[in-house]
Amino acid sequence: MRLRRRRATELAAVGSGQSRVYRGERLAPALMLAPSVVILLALVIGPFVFLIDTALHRQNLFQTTPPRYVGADNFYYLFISTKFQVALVRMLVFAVTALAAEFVLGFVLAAWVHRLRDLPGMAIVRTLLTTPILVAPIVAAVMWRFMYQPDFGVINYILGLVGIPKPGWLSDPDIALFAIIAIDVWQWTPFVFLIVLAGMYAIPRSLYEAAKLDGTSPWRQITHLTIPWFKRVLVIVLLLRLIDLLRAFEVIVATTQGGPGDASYTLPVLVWETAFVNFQMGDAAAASLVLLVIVTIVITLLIRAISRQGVVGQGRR
Amino acid sequence: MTDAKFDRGTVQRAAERGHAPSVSRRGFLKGAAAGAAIAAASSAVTWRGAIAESKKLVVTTMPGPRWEMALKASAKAYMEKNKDVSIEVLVSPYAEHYQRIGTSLIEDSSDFDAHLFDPVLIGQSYPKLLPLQEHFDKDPEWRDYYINGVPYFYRGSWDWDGVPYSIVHDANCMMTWWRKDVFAGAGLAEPARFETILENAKKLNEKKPGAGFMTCAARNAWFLGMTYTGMMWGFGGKWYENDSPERFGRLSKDNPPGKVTLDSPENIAAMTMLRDLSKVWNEASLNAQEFENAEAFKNDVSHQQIMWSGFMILQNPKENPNFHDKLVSRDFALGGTNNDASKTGMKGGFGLAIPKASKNIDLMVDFAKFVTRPENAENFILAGGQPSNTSLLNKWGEQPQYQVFKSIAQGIANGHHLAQFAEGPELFQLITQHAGDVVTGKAEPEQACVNMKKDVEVLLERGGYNA
Repeated sequence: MRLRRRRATELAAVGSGQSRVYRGERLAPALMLAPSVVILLALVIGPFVFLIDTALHRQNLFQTTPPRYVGADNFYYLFISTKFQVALVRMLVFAVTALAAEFVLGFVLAAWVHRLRDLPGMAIVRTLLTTPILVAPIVAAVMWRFMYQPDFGVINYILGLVGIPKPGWLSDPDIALFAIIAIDVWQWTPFVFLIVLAGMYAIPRSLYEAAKLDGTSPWRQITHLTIPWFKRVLVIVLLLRLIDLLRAFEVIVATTQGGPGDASYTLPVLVWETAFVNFQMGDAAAASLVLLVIVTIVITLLIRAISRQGVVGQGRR
Repeated sequence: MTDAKFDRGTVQRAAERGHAPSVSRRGFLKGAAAGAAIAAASSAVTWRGAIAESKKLVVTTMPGPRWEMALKASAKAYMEKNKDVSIEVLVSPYAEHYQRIGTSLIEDSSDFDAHLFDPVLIGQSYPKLLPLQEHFDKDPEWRDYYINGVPYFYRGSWDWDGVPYSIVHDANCMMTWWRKDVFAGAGLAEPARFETILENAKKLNEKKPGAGFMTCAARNAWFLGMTYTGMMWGFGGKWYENDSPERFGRLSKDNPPGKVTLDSPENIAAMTMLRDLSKVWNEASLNAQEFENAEAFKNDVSHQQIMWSGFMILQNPKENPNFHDKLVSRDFALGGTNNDASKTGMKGGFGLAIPKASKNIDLMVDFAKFVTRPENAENFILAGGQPSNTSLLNKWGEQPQYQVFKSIAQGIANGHHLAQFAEGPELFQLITQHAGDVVTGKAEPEQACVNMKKDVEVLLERGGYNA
């Protein structure tokens, strides 16, 4: 009713020569949106266009001549290079392994803390379990690099005390990638733990009490009650961690820079190395566009697959 | 509304009255503009006055004893001698330092009087840098001391078309280090050749696992690529046909590389030796950075290494209390069929380059010369610097704790140069990658050399060098 009256007033205003007021009202939303649009253009769309333009040029920061247009050459040489293929495989191995480990460990820890939540001192346990997130990733990586050092690192020192062989954690090509994954798992499992635990706390206690009365085992409580109840939370954590893992960079650069050989050489490391070690901006722009497309495709496929299960997008639980 | 006077009294009176002063927008703007103009003018006068009084120099550098500390000690000594001069040493990490040079030289770089300069930047930067020959000639005594003391194949890296664009600040190269007490006890030969190093490594490992051989073979800073290039040169190999000392690793269309020779018998021999060494080396080598190699010596973990000369601290009793007098160095080893001791190893180092736009050219040249003079050597060296003048290096090298300086004096003359062309960093990256394939067992030396050659040919072709 109120809307109809307002529209009538507007029409009357237009009819009576007060169209300036009407135009002003129409302009107001556009003006209010303008700052956001400008910021978006300046910080996202502009750089993205610049990135595409750079990817089409042979451009080296050390060269004395202007960038040269080379069409899709940078993409062609990227795709035929073995290091791109290696980097792609390593990136997927890194992301999938770390994601699985973080999820399993995070979930187990959360289930354990949730189950023992009434015991005294659990608040301290919760806090201690989440402290690794508070460490800056680069600091964590450097700290672990020192601990992993084969000759005077603390880990091999302890292994030596108990007579276990001392591996070259970051210098053995067979285990370096997994040693880095362990750092990521150490740092980010608490994130999964925290979100999952929050989800568990949101489930009414009465449901667990009813399940107990029915004689449901703890495992069935998890699979038939906990997981279905907060699938959405799990999906959000999964997506956030996957995006993070696909573009994981600082932990690798601070520990091995992709080595030994190319044992931990992932696509984000390739982009960084091409841009800031080799100073080949055209090649780096092409590689980062490819990385962007891969991450977008993976995430989109994942969201679609999950949507079909009715977890997101459908409003069903 | 009339314009009101906007002064402190107005504000105070208004505050006392409990409300804001009555000031029109125009009045406020007028007052603000006038205030800003007066403030700007007075600060400019003060600033210029201060500069005129103090003769301030601004020099940029990277952190670390060799650069920052040596420069700061030199600056302190210079300021003590010249009370009216102040020198600000701006320190930034590697990448930021290079960015600062790059961005400042895009414009006139007048904010800086000198940059600690990597010779690989000379090709793109020399039009903005001060040609120094005329300044050298104004002081023949210093010029002769400098020219005769810093080997041509070293200082020439900072020249362009025969014109010097830097005064070489420090010296750095790869070399061989070993524990003379352990070697004497085991009756091992001086590691002058890689074949000897390999034999020694096997014998040393039998006595203490992991002690036989260690090197920097990480991806970081192209350590493995640098080590391989030093070995390639020591085995008599080359990157490409025109890879000779007098070209200082420069390429252009007028100065093309010629045929890529990375799969030559000498190169394959060097790569095979690298593979053989990787089977006996301390496994930390594959991810080691310089400090880890140093710690391995200091903690009796390693007894033989190929390393950069930044290790001078290892002969200092304070830095290495247990083994400082037992560590000894020599120039990088030879190998294979090569017996020419004047071509071996790898060299680095930095110069002091002065932007043409510097407002204090004469003063800066004087300071740069002072940094290299014998009278400043003690300040420079005790702060952690490694001088570039061989007369200083050999003189100080007589002392046991600076014995390494004698090896530096040889290494900077004999070592292979850096790659001074736009694709140079990527060349080192490719070498690092393929040498990495060999030491991690992914490829045999012959195949790795063939793959490396192909990749470098593509790189040079894309760079437009008509390889």
